[in-house]
Amino acid sequence: MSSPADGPPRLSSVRYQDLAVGRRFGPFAERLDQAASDALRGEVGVSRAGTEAPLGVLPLLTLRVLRRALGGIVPGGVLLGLHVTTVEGLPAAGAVDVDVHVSDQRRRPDGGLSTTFTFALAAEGRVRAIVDWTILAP
Amino acid sequence: MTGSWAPFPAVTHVVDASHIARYAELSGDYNPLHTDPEFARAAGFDGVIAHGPIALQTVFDAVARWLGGDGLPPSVRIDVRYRGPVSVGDVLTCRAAAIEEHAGVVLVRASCRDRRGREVLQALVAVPRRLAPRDRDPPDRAVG
Repeated sequence: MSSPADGPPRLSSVRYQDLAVGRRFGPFAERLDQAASDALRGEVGVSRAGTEAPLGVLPLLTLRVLRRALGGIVPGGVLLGLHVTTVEGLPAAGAVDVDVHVSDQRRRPDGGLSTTFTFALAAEGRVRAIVDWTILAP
Repeated sequence: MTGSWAPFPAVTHVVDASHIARYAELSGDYNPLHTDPEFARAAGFDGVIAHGPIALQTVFDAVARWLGGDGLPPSVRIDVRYRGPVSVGDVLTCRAAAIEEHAGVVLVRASCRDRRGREVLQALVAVPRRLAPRDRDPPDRAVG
């Protein structure tokens, strides 16, 4: 696993309103390790061994990539929705390539701005899952 | 076809500060909403809130138990809408409200609520009919 403590700063100076639909980031090379997979099979941190990566690694890997794409996590953003489409299984440990683009942005009736990021996760050259995050800007 | 599918298990997780710390460590997400009570209160919350994926684990855990196996189930779609924040100490339970079949896809409508009954997220899980587990028991157990 690439340590999240390495690399980009914890917090980003990017503002969601400065992002444009269609903007692409990556691909980013991530490493998934057995401990992270095992920690996400049930309650967070309760380790359970398995040979394949559980669903819980999808938000984890995409969150790491979002941090890399935006140069940190944008403070104050709140998750509105998440959509997962699986294609095929993923080993519990190994390399995962992730690319991300801004796929939607809209002003809500309450005035808030929501931004959707779409991630494609691939291993050994094959797409394993697509994940969308929709985040409400602070 | 309602009544012919295996019950979707109810799954309960307790969220404590160690889960938030662990998720921040794993993901690198140190959004101050999750780590700084003053920042979270200034943003309108009662205190720090859990990362969104922590509540989602109840849904993923239930899906994995329902389908069996420990990996990504192929060709499954999960749509989640967050309805409210999750705080330290919350006890979250994910349950199915309905299991239906449409056009070869089995749809599970699930909801995750805290101990006071407040809904924190809604999920729609879509599974190809061939992968959905059949109920071996009487149909009155079909919705978990």
